[in-house]
Amino acid sequence: MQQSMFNVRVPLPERGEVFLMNTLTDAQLIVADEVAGLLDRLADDPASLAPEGLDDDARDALVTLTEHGFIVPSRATDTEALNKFFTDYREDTEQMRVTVLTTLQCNFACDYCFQGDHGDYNKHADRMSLDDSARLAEWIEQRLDELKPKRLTLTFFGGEPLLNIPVVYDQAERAFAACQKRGVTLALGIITNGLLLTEELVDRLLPYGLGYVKVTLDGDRDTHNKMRPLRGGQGTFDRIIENVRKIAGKVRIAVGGNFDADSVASYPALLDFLKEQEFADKLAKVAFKPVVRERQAPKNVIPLTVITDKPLNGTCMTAAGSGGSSICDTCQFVDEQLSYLREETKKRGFPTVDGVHMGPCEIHKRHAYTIGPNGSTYACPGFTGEPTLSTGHIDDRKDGWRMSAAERFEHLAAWHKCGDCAFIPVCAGGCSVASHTELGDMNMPTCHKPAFESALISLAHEAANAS
Amino acid sequence: MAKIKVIKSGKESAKPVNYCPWIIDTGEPAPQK
Repeated sequence: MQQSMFNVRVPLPERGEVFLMNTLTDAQLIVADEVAGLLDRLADDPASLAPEGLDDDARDALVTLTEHGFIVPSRATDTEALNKFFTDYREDTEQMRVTVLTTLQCNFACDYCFQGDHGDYNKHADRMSLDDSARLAEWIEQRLDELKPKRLTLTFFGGEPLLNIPVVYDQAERAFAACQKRGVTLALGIITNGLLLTEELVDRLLPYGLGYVKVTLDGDRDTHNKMRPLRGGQGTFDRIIENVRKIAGKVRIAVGGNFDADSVASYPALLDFLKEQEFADKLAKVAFKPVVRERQAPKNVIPLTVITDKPLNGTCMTAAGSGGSSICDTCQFVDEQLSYLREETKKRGFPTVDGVHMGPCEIHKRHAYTIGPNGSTYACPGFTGEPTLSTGHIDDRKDGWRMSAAERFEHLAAWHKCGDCAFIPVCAGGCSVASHTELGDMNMPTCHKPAFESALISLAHEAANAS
Repeated sequence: MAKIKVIKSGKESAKPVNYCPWIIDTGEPAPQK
């Protein structure tokens, strides 16, 4: 017997206890120091754990630790369990997930977005037609019949998805009818910049299963207005807040934000502002993430936070500095700021992410589909628009290059290069889009281990305070 | 004093699905209880 490679721990010396977590089973325990010591003895002096030499408490503790996955027969058992975990995750049919890009057009001109104010880009940006929407609905029905899931999660994304509201309504109505007919639960979500969010839209979608709306606020009012202006340069903060105020209480609202080195300091002011609003307790989640930078954004790649023409300075997908700093400097900056903003968010009582359960993401699920405006399918929204990486089409055309791309995603497993990192089950090697665009190899990991370690400490102290 | 407090059991199989934690969004909010 030996310790699982997925064990992580945080000492709680003031309590004489240790927080233990197994990232594969997701078990979380708070144990006395001597119980954690049993795990150490398992590694250092296994003979001392012979049953005849232990008291009842120690024997019971070893049984409990084994039941929760902290003690395993061998490393091979761990590896086998990890492989099964990823296979089960990939092949799961209980939930089918579809992200629909209703359009690649956007009414904002965020300068950190490669899709931003690029001349006449909007004129040529793809937009889903109602005919294609009908075809997509048929495609979804076929998948529902094949997979027989219990739940369909349909997320509207773009571009700005609300610039093509007819398709939003069409998809919602058709998906609702299809799910009703099959006894499938439908959950709708909208990821929008918030400018065109109205009560009418929410009221119309609620009966179909609208579960949440996510809007983006990039810092306090002034910072946001600089980061996310309209194409004419006008600010958007006030209107988004006004729209959120109108729909608060009708639907759960998530607030996101993209920070960089220049804007991160304004986020506490944003949090204070949100806390003062009458809708503060209606916010279902508040979570911020770093702007992704790269030297040359591939044309039409969807990530909304890619900065072009600025040096990446390293292999970190979330490099937040520009010029002069090293790889580790930029990674460390991002990891520190992620932790800082998460704690600031918690401090004000907003629900947020714990920073430990960051994956695996949807790209590792076979039945999570992203559909571009022209019906092309993609492994995840981050690859949308890069034609050579389309994995198929809703008309089931068999293009060799799409099949080739699908094959690449089929074998995606960056974690194979992560050695014995304990965070593999909650990370899966990081973001494949970042690996592809920044490292040129989607099968290379993007590592934010310090961010996981920091989040784990926070999780441990929260658990201790609550217990 | 209990020597082991179970904060979350490792015997449950359900794991959350993350949408796009690093780039687009951290996923839909948890369902309402």
